[in-house]
Amino acid sequence: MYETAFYLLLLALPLGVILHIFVARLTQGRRIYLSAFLTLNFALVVLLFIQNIVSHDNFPQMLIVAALFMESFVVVYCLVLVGVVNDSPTLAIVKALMKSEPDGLSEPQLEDFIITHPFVSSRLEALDATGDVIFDNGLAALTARSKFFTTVISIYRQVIRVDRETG
Amino acid sequence: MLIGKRAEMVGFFLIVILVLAVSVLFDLAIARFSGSRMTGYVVSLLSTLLGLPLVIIFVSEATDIFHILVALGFGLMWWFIYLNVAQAVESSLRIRMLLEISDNGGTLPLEQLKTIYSDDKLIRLRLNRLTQGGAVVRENDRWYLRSAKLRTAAHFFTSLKRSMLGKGSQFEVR
Repeated sequence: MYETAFYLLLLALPLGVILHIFVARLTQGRRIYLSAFLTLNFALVVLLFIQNIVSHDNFPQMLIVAALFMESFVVVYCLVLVGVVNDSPTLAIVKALMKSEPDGLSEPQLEDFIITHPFVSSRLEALDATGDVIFDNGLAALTARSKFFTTVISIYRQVIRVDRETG
Repeated sequence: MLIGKRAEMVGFFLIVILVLAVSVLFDLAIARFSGSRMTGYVVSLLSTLLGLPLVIIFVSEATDIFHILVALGFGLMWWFIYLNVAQAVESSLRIRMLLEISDNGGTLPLEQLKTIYSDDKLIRLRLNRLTQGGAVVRENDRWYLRSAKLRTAAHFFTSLKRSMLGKGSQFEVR
């Protein structure tokens, strides 16, 4: 059972990823996380269908293992996608440094970079879009959901004794 | 027969969950008592990577290599999810902003938030960290990249972004 699931997933994962790269390119990254979920599961369903024609042995068990494996992979893949879609400040600085080679990055170039990379505004817009923060009359306010999350996060940070830095 | 197979599958997932729970506890304990996040991450990864095959062999007496490989796949993916959640909670800009608002009683003037988290402050802090870590050097008032690892990471994410989104940066105008 595990051998069949292993080979099935070995085919389904790259097939789903390749399919998703094509879909993301075609849709120019719109609804990228939803399309990742759909294409990866589509690849699995197609291969499960073919496998079920070939053999019925342990199919329900294999279906559960393969489906759980694929959904776990979808989460992992989406976490990598977050890093692809949103520029990390550190990685953006590295790219600016690479672009300035061989002369190096000067102070005026750094200032230009800061102006053209509004990370803080983009993160604030994201918090607004996800409904974690409400902006009203010049005030930023937490919602009931984000209040719950910040309470859980504060407890976790106290457990591991992490210090907060503003950047 | 069917019940036996179901029980075996439940046992399989219980082992993965228990090994991962122990790895997370190792990470939290190391973070709390040593203050080193990196050590905690490495120990939790190694305990998942080595603990999972050992527990499967000794507890479920499985000798099938595919059984172990599938379990390792689950273990490593769930560890990666834990790592991402932990890192986001500890260093994500969005989470820090939420905590800043929370510390102020749940509301904060937007201008005050933008003063605490300005682009200038954020980028210069990151650049200073890179310089202190040796990945970047500053000579004659210019910054130079010295880290091959960061160069490779930048190439990888830029290629992936170009192949998927058709642009190299979030702020690039098409």
